[in-house]
Amino acid sequence: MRLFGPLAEAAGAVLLPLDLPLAATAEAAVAALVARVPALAPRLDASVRFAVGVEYVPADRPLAEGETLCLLPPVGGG
Amino acid sequence: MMPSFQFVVTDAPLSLEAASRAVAREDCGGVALFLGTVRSPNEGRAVERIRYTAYREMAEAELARIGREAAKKWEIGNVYLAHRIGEVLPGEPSLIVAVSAPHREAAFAACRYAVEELKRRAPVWKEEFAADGKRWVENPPGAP
Repeated sequence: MRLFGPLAEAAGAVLLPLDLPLAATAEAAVAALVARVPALAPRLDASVRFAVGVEYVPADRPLAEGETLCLLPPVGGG
Repeated sequence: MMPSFQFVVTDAPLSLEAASRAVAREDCGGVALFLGTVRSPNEGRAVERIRYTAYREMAEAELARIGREAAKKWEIGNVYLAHRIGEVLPGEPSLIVAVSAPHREAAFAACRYAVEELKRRAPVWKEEFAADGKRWVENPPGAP
């Protein structure tokens, strides 16, 4: 799992390996992340978006083996 | 009309000259150009500097998608989208959107579209530094 912006700051890491069941969704990955880093829970609400590769994906997308899920907190560009 | 596109996410200072050169073409009667700069004060705080970080590969891909969407919606010539990352001081440009088109209505509309979509979708994060510390600043959802 790859974290960005305030999420990476709060986790103290930009990359967190997580063991997930096959075809786990992005939502399930977030639940696993909260179990591992409870301090992130308040930040992992509906405002967080997901990406795989360089594209947004929906929260119910199943992850393939070895795929990296990106967690994108609310953006501030411009 | 065959549009051409240029998308830049860079830690180097942005250049208006590069933007206008990228979009200029003889079959277009105008260029709409939006220059976003770091504002101080912001929400009552005197801003010392901004630090932008990005998921750079995706930011470039997202800018490309936005540019191509604009070219589908309006009859436009070229699109130039650039976002600065790293440290930026008040008054300095953080964003340039430039669109050329045969007619101004399409240029204005496509430029506006690209600015709004970029603020909503580009994976870029902003830390604002002031005398009393730093904070993450988010774009408001829906209406940036």
